Amino acid sequence: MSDYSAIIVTLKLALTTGVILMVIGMPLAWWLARPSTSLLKNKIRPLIEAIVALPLVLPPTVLGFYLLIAFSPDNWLGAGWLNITGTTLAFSFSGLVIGSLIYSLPFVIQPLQATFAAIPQATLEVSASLGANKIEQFKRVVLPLSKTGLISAFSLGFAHTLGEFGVVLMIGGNIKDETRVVSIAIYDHVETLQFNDAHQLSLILIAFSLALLTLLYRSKHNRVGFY
Amino acid sequence: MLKVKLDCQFDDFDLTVNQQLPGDCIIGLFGASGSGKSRFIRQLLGFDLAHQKDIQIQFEDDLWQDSGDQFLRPVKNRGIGYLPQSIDLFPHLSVEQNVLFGWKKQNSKFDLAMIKDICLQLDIQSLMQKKPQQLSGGQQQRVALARAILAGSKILVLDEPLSAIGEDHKPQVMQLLRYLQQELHIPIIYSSHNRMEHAFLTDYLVTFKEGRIIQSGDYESIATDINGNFSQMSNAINHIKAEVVEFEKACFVNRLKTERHLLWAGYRPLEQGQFVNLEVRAQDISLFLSESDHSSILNSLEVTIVDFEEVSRHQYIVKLAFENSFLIAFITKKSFISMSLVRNMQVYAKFKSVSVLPISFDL
Repeated sequence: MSDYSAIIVTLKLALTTGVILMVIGMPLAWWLARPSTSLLKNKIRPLIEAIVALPLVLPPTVLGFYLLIAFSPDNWLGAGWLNITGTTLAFSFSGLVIGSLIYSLPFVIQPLQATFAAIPQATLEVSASLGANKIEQFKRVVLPLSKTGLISAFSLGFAHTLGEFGVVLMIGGNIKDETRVVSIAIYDHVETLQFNDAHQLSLILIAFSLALLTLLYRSKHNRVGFY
Repeated sequence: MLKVKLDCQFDDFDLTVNQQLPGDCIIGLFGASGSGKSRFIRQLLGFDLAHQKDIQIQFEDDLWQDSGDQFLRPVKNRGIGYLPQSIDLFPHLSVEQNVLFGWKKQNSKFDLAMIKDICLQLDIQSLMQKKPQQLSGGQQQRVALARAILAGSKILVLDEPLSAIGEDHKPQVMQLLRYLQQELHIPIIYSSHNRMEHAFLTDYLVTFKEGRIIQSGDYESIATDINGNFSQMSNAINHIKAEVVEFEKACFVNRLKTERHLLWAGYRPLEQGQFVNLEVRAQDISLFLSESDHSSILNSLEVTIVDFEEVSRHQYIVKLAFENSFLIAFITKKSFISMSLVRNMQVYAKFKSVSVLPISFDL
């Protein structure tokens, strides 16, 4: 059944995107969150923050349009990818991941930044005075204090990627087992008047997203015990 | 020996220090809020680098920082046990995990039995499984103090370590700090604007004003130096050590004795034969030319005027020799002139307001 494949592709995309965004998001969010006396940093920080927030306000078509151009073998990204992997980025799963990374970036960065900013400078200073180096500070102080923030960042990035449509439509197309995600499948069903199938998939997506968000908000409110 | 040379620029004032501090004693930092005590302490830890113009810190044989050679020993390698003014316990860890955060079994001077004893002295042994947010402010500060003590292999640096600790625990905590200093022979640097704490704890006093050190030296000499800022402040206090003779039940007052005087203080019975410290504010001492016998003021000491100084347009500070120590008193210029006070004159210092300190210490 083709809808089953769409669900698998969607989950794979959301999971890959979520994990990669956490890896690149943590250092970026840390850099954005922590106070600095460096003039250069304080000057370029607002610009970086604005760039991170852009996907929140731009129509997905704008993102998709420029990604499509970048993916073309005429451009360095597309050409480089072609050189290394022998495939094109446009209309591929890898292309979708790149698109989703950009599209969901603010949903991961913003909660991470908020949670890192909430850690008092003095707490880090004390841990340093108690002999903790940077890595130990991260492991013993920053990570446990950011637990809620890390969970929300990942969940939001994951959930937002689940609901992605415009960018996928522009750069992914509708290839089964490769780029056909749930939102595209629903669109397809509606276009071909298969309302039953559209209902099924839509309800699955609603139920799943609702469950995920409920879990997320529950973890936010149950802070007793670790913060 | 701790050598500190600082030239730091902050928005509101500059911190300029060139000071040597002794190595084996308790060093007390005194000064009003915003006088530079905390900023000085933060410099000892190597924080606020962006504000430094010039800095050089050497502790014993270890160079901590030298901006001339661009050398910076990270705080984790300085052997400092640090208690920040903001306390900052780790909220995600239990009290026990907080206390042991900087403790490394292999190279610590403290074994588990000693740690238990320190926690007992600080009265936190029953809190070990709690989270910091379940504690009161005073409890949090005592936990943070334990954490600092265990991490301080070479020096303790404590920013307002007693500010949140209630009067009921203060004597014990101060005694613990005294005891640790004598046992470990490491310097303890702490800041406080409480004079009683300095009288008990401080061996070497450093007073700050507007980012500069204006007085430094052993506590006794600074406390009785009438030309210095520390004794000229209106809240200056005196301490008199006395032995309890008996509690006079009929009048509900303790009779105490010093070498050659009798004193009356405190309406709560004290233990006979116990030595206590009496605190008398310099403001509360009046001078009399003769021992006039009928007065409601109970306490009268035979003293000799050693020195005096005009501290304001209307006030004099007078240094008095009392038995083997000194007292300071503030009197009005009007009285000073009308009594024709001069040096080496014998007078009587009288006061009715005396507090019995909850701790005994050697003056």
